[in-house]
Amino acid sequence: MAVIHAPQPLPVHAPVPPVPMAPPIELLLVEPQFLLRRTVAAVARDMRLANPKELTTIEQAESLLSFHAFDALFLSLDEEQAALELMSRVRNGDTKCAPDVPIAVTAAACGTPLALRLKHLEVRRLILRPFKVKGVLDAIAALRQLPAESHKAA
Amino acid sequence: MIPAPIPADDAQRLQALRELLILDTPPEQRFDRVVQFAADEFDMPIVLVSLVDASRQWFKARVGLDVCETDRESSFCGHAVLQPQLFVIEDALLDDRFHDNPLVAGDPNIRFYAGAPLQLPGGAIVGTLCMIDSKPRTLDAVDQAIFSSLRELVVSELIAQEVTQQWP
Repeated sequence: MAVIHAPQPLPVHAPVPPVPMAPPIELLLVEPQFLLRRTVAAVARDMRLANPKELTTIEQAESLLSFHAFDALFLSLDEEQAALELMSRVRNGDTKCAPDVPIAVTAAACGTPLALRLKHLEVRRLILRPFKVKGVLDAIAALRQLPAESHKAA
Repeated sequence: MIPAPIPADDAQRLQALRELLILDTPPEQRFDRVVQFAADEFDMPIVLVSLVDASRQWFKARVGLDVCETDRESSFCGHAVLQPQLFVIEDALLDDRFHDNPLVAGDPNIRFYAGAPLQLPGGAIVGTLCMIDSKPRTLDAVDQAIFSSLRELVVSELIAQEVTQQWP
């Protein structure tokens, strides 16, 4: 086996440089799956797309939104009824977020009743499982381009 | 083929690897789920957590490969652990170091290789999270960021194991 004491430089791919763009948005990310949530959050942070606050349940989100505003919400519909109720409260102005805060959701499936409900709640993006991290990042990037029309609630 | 070089600090690197007490241990879900996640995310047929030992690379977790170790000399990971950045070979047939490598010329017919070095807090690079395909591929900036993030999760698990074993 070859032994070298001063390894020759190898062609390598440099770390991904931050993309110069608008400041990252404050994002609430509710996703129960650890690997998916952690990877999305880390890459969104690295790419300066968003500063995600990671939560695993809608109940935690409900509590946080009672005193903290976000620029966008990204919610798993694993707890479908609870998530729909939370989005209704957001749209009614019952949280610290602007009522028109951009919302994206992920779901295992979506029939007509759910699609109509999501449309009524002005959900900007629906991503169906199975999906890739890249797809979620695309959706977060889209939320950046569609900011809430009003400012965050005080 | 250019054999995987042995870095000058290999003894310290091997010491750090062995202190993890992970070589030749059974598969664990916390590593298995990362390689499966990477395989699904990148549609990659082979994904490994490869630990580079003195004369072999041993796979703590693997998707798409039946063997649990191969020799270090012909390993791509043996090259990848020489530096901390992502090590990507988009087409091994076009690379002087690998075009006649037995892993390229024969099973598993590697054409694409991406290795994310697993660097411990002390600096030692003990192995890689790596992805392999039998056709040429590229990784764009977002792919690289996702891959690097998964690498950090593997390193976190390696460290967590070390802490657990030191402080049961």
